Amino acid sequence: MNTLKRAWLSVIRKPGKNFLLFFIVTLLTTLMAASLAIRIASNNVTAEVQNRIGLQVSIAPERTELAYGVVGQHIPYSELQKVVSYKGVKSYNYGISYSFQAKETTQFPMVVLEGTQNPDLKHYWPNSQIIEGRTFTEQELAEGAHVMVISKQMADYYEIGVGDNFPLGRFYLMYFEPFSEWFDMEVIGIVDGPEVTRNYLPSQIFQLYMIYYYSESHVGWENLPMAIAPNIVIDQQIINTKLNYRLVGVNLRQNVQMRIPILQMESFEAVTEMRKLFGKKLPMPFKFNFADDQILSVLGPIGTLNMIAEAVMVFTMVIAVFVCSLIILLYLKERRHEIGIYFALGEKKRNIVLQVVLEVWIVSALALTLSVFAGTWIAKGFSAELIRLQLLIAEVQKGKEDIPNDNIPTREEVAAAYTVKISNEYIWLFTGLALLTVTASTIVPIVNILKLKPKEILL
Amino acid sequence: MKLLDINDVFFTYPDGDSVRTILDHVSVTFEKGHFYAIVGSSGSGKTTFLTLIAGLDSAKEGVISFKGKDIAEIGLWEYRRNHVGMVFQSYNLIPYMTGLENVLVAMGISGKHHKRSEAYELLESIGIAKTKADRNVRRLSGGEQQRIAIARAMANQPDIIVADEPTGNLDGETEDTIIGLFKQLAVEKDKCVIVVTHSEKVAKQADVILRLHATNGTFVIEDNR
Repeated sequence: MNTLKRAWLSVIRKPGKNFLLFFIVTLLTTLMAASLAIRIASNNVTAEVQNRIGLQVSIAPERTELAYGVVGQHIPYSELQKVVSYKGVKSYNYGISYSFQAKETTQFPMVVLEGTQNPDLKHYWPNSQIIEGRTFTEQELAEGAHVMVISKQMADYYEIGVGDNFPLGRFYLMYFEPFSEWFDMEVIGIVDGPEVTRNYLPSQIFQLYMIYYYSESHVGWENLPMAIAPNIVIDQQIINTKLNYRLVGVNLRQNVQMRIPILQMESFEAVTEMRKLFGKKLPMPFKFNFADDQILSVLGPIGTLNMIAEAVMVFTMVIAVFVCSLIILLYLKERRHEIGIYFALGEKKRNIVLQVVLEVWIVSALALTLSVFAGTWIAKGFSAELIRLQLLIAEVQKGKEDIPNDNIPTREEVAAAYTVKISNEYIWLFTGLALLTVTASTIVPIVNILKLKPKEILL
Repeated sequence: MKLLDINDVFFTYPDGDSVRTILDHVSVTFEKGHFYAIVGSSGSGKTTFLTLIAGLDSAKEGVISFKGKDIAEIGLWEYRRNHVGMVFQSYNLIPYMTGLENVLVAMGISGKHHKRSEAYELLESIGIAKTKADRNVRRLSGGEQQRIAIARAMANQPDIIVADEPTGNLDGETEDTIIGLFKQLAVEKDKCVIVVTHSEKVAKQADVILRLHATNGTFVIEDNR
């Protein structure tokens, strides 16, 4: 009869005695399992967020300036070029949007011009496709050619097509002198898709906008037809306007909608270098946002959960070792005689140690199986409730809306991505940790046994 | 053939602030195929002597040799595992196992590969049928348990069987049966059987009686061969 068989018989022939150990192991390893499930889910979400924005640096205005609309809302393209020319920048994206008026109609409607520096239109509008003509060339984007790809909705509304010239610009009817400036845009392509089709486009004529003190951010941008043009074109038309906006009382740059420039860096060293080289060189009010700052921000609820889970797991492991050690010690004291017999028969000490460990593992096997499922169930319930509370707290504390950043998930998205589930990683990690814990609990009892002398036990 | 040689063995126990001599430089030889009885009054050192022979303890001075080799050099654990079988007064069987399983445990510890059928045969030779062998030991009589203990002591095919008051908990008739078994082991299986007893009746059945004196820790040997 080998050691494993002896251990097996010892467990199954004395179920009553082993029940207490089974109960305690189940209870404590369930808590461990729950904590581990939460940690794995948290780490997966964190890794996903880090992968998404890990080597990224974004450029955004300070929130106070945004809140008061004091200074321009978008970073001029010329300033951005100084930063993105750094060799550590692998790629970048940038996009600005602004509404201009169309000249060649009697109704003077507004058009939203969306900027891009990526010839692949699916980059910003993934569900769209070119249905006629072409997209931009790299040269057109780099040099700011006056070309645009219009939405099918706009093409149908204005009855224009590829090759047509469509001037855009400004017309202001001011209280003492009308002002207008126009620039010609050539239509090179037509794009269609849900992202370029506006929700509501009134069939009647757009009203003429009388710009006295009328912020264009009040315009319902979802109602305006849309076209796509190189960023530089939009940037230059805003910055280089001859309109004396101080007289008008309107800050044109304030009304630009900007996608946060996202710089994808070559390496983490490049990120560090970026901080040193350009950290203080951005024009006011812009600053760099580095990934680790952003990660901490969106991972708030998950971070709290992770901390609690880690603390519970460590605490539970320590308690489990302590309590199980006591129980096993008591069991073995009752079995001194049996152990003395093994000693008297000449059994090797290591086999006796192995038998004790195997007995604990056998008792724990069923306990751990139950804990895997119970722990997941508890983790789901607990973490869902805690995330809900954290999101409520974050909602209360929220300030002015952040300007759109395509790549940074919101807290709600992070919470939705958080999933507690039974995975191979979870099962293996939990089994390893739990076995380590219960095995560690045998150390003190085993040391006690090995000090026993068979002569004193048996005779 | 000289199997076990006790040479000038000295052993003491602490006794308050002083030390009490239990075995005072004793020497004796044990041979295969003989039944030895160690007799003495309570506290004379019988059990102590048995523990030294069985390798459960080490002498303070002197040498115990098995087949010419010091058992300390062999290693007490290996000596017990391979060369000694022990029988105790209170049987010392594993209570939650059957008779067969108790024998299989000893076979497993010895490291020699045994089949269940061999264990059944061994038990059968001691007078334990298969039906009783498959029963939990707590459901057996004292005599049956002691037979199982003897079978267990034989499981590792030892050269030496030591027994500490093996009939102490048994009635007269059972006692005779058990002692008969020991004699059979000595004669038929060529074992060296050493029994510690306070019973003169048991002692008289031995080939050699070693009488221990409590006062001076020495032996008087009565050879009945």
